[in-house]
Amino acid sequence: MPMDDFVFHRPQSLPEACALHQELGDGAFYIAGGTDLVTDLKRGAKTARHLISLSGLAELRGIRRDGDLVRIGALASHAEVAASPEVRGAFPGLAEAAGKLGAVQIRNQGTIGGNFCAAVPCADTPPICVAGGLRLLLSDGRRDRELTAQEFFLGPRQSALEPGEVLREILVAPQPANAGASYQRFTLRGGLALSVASVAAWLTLDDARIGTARVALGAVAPVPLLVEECASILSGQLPEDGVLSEAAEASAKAARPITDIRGSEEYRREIVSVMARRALVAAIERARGAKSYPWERV
Amino acid sequence: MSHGERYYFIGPVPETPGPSEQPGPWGATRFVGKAATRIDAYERVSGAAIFPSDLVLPDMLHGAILRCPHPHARVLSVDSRRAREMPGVAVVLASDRPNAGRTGADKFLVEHCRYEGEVVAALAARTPEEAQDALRMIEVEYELLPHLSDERRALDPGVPQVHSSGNQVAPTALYERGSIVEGFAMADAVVETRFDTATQIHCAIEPHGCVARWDGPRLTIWESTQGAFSVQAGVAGALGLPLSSVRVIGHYVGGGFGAKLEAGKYTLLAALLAREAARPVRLFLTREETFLAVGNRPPNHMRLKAGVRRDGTLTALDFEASGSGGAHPAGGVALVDWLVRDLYSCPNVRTELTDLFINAGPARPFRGPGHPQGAFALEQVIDQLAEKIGLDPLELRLRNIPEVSQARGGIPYTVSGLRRCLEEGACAFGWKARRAAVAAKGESEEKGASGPGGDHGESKDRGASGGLGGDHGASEDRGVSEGLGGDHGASEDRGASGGLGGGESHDESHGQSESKDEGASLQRGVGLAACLWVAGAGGPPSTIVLKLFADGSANINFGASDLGTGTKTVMALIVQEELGILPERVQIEHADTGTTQFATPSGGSKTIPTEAPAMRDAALAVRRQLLEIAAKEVERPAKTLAIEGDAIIARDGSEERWPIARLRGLQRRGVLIGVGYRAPNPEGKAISPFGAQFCEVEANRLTGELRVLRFVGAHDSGRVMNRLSYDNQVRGGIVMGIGFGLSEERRLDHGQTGRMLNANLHDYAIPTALDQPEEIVSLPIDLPDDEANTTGAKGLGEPVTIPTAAAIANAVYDALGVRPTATPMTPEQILTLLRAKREG
Ligand SMILES: Cc1cc2nc3c(=O)[nH]c(=O)nc-3n(C[C@H](O)[C@H](O)[C@H](O)COP(=O)(O)OP(=O)(O)OC[C@H]3O[C@@H](n4cnc5c(N)ncnc54)[C@H](O)[C@@H]3O)c2cc1C
Repeated sequence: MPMDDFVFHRPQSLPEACALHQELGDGAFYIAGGTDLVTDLKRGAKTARHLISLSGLAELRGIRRDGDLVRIGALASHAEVAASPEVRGAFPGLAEAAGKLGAVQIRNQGTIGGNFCAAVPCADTPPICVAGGLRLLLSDGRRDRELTAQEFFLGPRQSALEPGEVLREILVAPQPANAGASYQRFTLRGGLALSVASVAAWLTLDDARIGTARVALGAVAPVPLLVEECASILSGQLPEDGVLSEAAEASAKAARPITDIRGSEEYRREIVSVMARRALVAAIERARGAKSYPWERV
Repeated sequence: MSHGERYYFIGPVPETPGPSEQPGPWGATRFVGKAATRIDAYERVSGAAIFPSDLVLPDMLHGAILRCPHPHARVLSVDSRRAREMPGVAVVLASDRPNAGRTGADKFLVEHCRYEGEVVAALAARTPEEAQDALRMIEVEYELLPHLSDERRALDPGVPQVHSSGNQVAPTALYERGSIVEGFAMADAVVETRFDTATQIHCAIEPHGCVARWDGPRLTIWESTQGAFSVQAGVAGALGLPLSSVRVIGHYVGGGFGAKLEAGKYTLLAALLAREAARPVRLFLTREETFLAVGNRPPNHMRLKAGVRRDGTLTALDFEASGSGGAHPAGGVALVDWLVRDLYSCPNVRTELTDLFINAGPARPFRGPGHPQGAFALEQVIDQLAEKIGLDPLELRLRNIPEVSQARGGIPYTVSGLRRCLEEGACAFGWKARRAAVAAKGESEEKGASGPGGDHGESKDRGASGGLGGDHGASEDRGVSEGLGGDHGASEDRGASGGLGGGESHDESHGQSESKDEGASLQRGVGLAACLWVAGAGGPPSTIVLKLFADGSANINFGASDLGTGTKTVMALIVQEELGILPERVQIEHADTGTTQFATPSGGSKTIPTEAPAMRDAALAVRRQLLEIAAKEVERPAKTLAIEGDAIIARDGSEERWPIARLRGLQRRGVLIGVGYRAPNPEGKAISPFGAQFCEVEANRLTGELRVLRFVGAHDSGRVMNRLSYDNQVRGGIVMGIGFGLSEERRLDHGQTGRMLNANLHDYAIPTALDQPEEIVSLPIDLPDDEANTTGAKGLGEPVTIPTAAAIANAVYDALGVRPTATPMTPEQILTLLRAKREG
């Protein structure tokens, strides 16, 4: 399928990239892995006059420990995130989400930054970051600013990025030792499929009781949706069947899904409830100290 | 179009000369039937094989087609002036209007577009990108017309008309034998169910297309095709050329499945573009175009009412089906009723088929046309009847096995392996023990509550064992499996098998409790379905040439395509069987109208039964000549000589040997040529392949997800010619059937744009490697059909996909007590059925 002509730029630093974007204005797009943008250009959903590649920006690369923070560069591929010892150590739920996304080729080519910035409701890495209360580092080339993952999403394909602003890093704050998180998604085939609905759960366990708990939903609302009710339903409770069911039901109720080719509104709600349970069960187990990475090939 | 015409000739075929001799059947074989590696395995695996889409010629241009983006529109004006000015553009075929500059391509360009994807214009440019860019510069003004995308509404009053004559392709076709009224009067139990099957797209890995090159008045086309000679005839006819001026070469083809049996419009456009440009043109469709314009398995809507006596005798079948092959006649209901007519003994049958138009892309034959749809209805209704009269579904089928083809005037089958497929397949699967275990759970328990029985302990545990199956990553996207505190290590990869309780909790039966424990919501069931395939006999004409060279090596020359099914390898095995020549000393020339003999397209599962006997005949003709030459030289009667490996041997036990390469007569001639022909099929006999498939599925009551755990495919396709490619077909057919049953569906935007919503391989879900069952067992029922032809082989490629979806549906019922009556059997459908059942 055809694309309009564009000029391809490959700046070598963040300030240079941002300056270029400012200068070129409308019709200029940053491009990371291109798995989202190029399909849009080919479909004619977007028209680009200029593509500004981020691939030369060292500032956006790599996953590294910085004191007790783990900084995930926006250009990290899903495969890198899934395999990273730092991410797995600090926040395995995110490694899990990145490892489940798309298919092998997409995980190799697509970046976590692109997954956030495209701001597609069914994106797989944002919900777990919202549930985990992660912060994001944005930059316009001159000044950096921080937002929470939740604040970043404004609507379908709409983020809090100002024109020309770049998502620089995803910041993983140190997790309490008694925390556990999990991301569960439902798809219509084994691989290479978008989520019909997904749920991320994050919680802590104090002496067998749930301490703090956050549940976020994907693909069932314009943005990754934090289910406020779950916090009060779960906290202070023993992780028993009834409580989990209640949280699952609350999640289903909070969902605001649409009907499309992957599933109807009603079906998505039901799936949310099942995924919520799965996510909570797995998060509880991780909080108890289980180290397992079931999304990974042995 | 009448049944299957694209696949095989109906009525007498102008005879080729008879075979040189009618040899006896083979009996035991030494090479045929063993597991032989493909003779082109290296080329295929290494990439050395040149598929038509790989071909690059000097000066070659790239063609592209402008297709109508609307389901129904009239072209008001076309202006291609800007496109002609675009960089790299060499030639544009467009009927610019007004001020019509008519082109030679006019008859291929459509003004009244009746589906999304009709051809409006075409062009060729230096690069594929320039061609695509230029395409967008062709300005077309459309008048949008009301469209109809849902065939179920085609006959409603006031709906848009696809053709001025209405939305019905032809009068409803009626078939009747006996009296269904009497049949139902005799029945002790009657069921009636409606079924819907969705449109499936072929999705061959290599898109449709060709490279066309002119050399003066002669045209050469390298085409991705199932039939080089049918493309030749199509192109020659359309362009008014003698056959001798059109050479079509189709050595390799990256999949066809029925959608590449003839020349496409793209073939003709490539030829015209190449002629105008005086340069070779490569024109391959984009993946998106292949979803829209070059074939599908049509959607069908069926109602089947059936009656049975308490003893299991079928008394009546009343079947009604509609469907649509798109906007032009394309067999929207072709063969949908064949299994109802002919799979089981039943004196009273009535079928009614109504073919409808909609504004959508054309159907094409697709692996067992009509049959998987019909099987989806028939094989579920048979199970329903069995349940009503309290008979095992296997037993009910065994009690109704016909010895004759009732739909073909009651002529007997040469061989019917249906009984053996059912019995031996059941045995290999462990069917009886499995059913007994279910029955033993007691009748009080509600259907669907019964967990898996005892005899499949091994398969149940297999998943949990973390062995081969366990670590294939299927669960990547399938949800978590670890239970809280359970021993989850082993089940990690098995999807949601652990709940709060952890462990493998789905052994016991769970009743209908609304437990949210996922371990307890997994339920297993088994199902079976049988089939036959109407064609698969093969028949004349076929003409095959075998050349034996002076050193005892050989060349096989035949016109048919090898679709990837392994035809070439089977031919080499036949030569080895008769002449002892090793496959590596055989060179094959095929599927080239310039250098090989006429052959019908490879389709209808008829390639082997058509070509193999002619190959054998050619080999025998060479053998006869060789033995005659040898007889003269060694001064013994030919009758006392035989060929073994690279030598002539005496059959008198003297162990005398004369190397073939040293026969002076052969040296002087330089070549021996054997010409083989295909003899007609026996008169008054029906020839069909049969099969039965068994499967086990695991259903998740909470999500509606279905996982196919294992399959057994027991097929009677006559003699097994090559065990490796045989098993390959069985596995591939079952996987394709799983796609048809569980996930594939062309989605049209009903009531809105009418356009296809999932014309890409991301949204149109063919099964991935992660969606395969861990185990597919191919169980050949090796029954040489010596009456059918001199090799005893029948067709295999299509029957293997016919019963698959039906078997899955029956297994779902066994697991959950709800019956999915529509394909694809999506998780959402399953959940809806469960809810409906719960709510009574
Ligand atoms: C076949 C296929 C399957 C897919 N499956 C999934 C799936 O299962 N789950 C899923 O979530 N997604 C899926 N995707 C979508 C996509 O691959 C992912 O969202 C991916 O992470 C996007 O990353 P990218 O680097 O390729 O983004 P790009 O395409 O390069 O960019 C996407 C958008 O973000 C902007 N952008 C990128 N990086 C930055 C940055 N650092 N700062 C500012 N703006 C930026 C770009 O300008 C563009 O608008 C799939 C895509 C395809 C083609």
